[in-house]
Amino acid sequence: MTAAGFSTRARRLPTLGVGISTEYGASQSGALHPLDLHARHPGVVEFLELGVETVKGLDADGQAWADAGLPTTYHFLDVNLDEPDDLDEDWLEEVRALLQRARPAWLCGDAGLWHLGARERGHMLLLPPILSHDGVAPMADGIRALRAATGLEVFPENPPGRVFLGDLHVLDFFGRVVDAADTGLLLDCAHLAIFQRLRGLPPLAGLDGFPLDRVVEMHVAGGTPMEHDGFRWVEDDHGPEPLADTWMIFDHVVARAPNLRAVVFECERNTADEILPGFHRLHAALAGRGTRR
Amino acid sequence: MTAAALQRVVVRCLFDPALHDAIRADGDRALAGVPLSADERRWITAADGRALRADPLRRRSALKSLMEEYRTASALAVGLTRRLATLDAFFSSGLFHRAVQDRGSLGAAFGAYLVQLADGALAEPRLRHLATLERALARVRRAPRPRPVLPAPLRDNGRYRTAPHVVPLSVAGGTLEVLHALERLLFDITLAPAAALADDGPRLGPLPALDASTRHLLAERAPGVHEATLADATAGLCGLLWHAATPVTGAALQAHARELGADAAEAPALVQGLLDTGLLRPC
Repeated sequence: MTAAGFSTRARRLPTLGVGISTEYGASQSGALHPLDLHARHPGVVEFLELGVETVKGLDADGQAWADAGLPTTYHFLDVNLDEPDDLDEDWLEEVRALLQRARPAWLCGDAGLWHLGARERGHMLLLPPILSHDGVAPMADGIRALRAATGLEVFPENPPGRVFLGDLHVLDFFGRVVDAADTGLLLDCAHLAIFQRLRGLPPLAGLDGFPLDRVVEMHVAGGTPMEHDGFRWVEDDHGPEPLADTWMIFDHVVARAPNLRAVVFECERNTADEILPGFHRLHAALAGRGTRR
Repeated sequence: MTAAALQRVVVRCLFDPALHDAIRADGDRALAGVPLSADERRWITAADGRALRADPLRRRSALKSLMEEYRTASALAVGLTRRLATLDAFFSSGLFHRAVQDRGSLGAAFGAYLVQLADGALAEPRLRHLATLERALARVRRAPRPRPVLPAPLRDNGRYRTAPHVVPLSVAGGTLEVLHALERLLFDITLAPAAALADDGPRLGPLPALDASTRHLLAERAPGVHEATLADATAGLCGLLWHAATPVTGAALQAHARELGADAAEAPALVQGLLDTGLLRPC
């Protein structure tokens, strides 16, 4: 499958349009059910991004969407791509079984530390990678290994964080990763906005040197400015109102990413009324590209 | 792979910001044995300590997971000391820091911490035996899923070891009674959590005493699930499985079975039975 290079493989990827995220049990908070949203607002939500820990599997909402034969992507929440031991056979078996059920267009997910040590209860967290040259090759190797093990494309995503260590800009780091892994990127605009603020950089810093033809998917989500003991950061809480910085990044990239196939509004724990304006804005932006199929 | 080592130092600092203070004060000492480059040392030293402290619930939420797995041992430790800080101190312990830096298991390290408490500050044998039992269950939950057993005749020169999803253990008589008493207390608290705040709410009363007997048990991960079961076992079965904790030959296993009381004629069938049921695996 991977004998062809990324640019060739990218041309074969389906265009999914605008989707919504979900995680196990997300709708139990009284928020929306993706399939209901799809039925009540035809065309607004075109695919579902399934956030999956294999130990939990798919919840009723995720399963119902998959059973309806609607498009999905598989967003892993439980693999440290840069740790070879993490791709153990038990986990891969569980992933393959879930892929058969959900038939996603590809796999994607934050390329960071999802758990300290092995995949165990109580070990879950999410930290960004160390942004140094040393961290590039292990991450790229993990992406290639997971792609080979599943037969699907694997797109790393720039994670959120409060502590980013290393001498590279996050876009520089991931530019090297996708080049070494010969793959595309899931650019999370909200996560990038968080990074830029922490480093004291303008929202679009680093994008001029980034190969935007690698961007296959984008995420947009709300965040909340926080402060602790004078330290300021943005909490990636998937609220309904993306920051202006996030929209600025999205608008910049959407106009310049020729291989963009999917945009997810990560807003799984909100009500339909709160999130519809965001979806309309995303659709308008994609329509403006004039490249939808 | 020094980026991975630095990542683990970050995790340690997030759970125990005192480490970051120590790195700033004396990096050579605080990071002794951790393979970091000069740049990486500089990065972690320069990290904003306020960012590392920005999640005040980090330790508490990890402790919740650990306490769920070590339900009765945790309850006994807290009940004896009346202080959650007894368990929270795990995240400042050497056991915690070694587990993270060596990519170990927090569950296993927490079990070791409880045993340390039992043998040290609390001097409470019942805590030691409860922690031993819950540690065995924690270990098999983390084992690879049991695979189907393929028929394999026992060979004298073949090498075998105990299957990873099985842990034999021995605890003092009375341990299970202590466990059940603590489970009942926790159940009472679960019924009405606010009752734990009341003077006449559920309290840790006198617990059953341990006796001089030994109870042999087998903790096992069931196929297809992430749960563990506990069953009574014989001293002989536990002895054989302990003997095969590291790879041993079929001949050595049969000899050990004879030492444990099997006669020469039944020893091969006994070991073959362990192979057939998947408790022993060829390696």
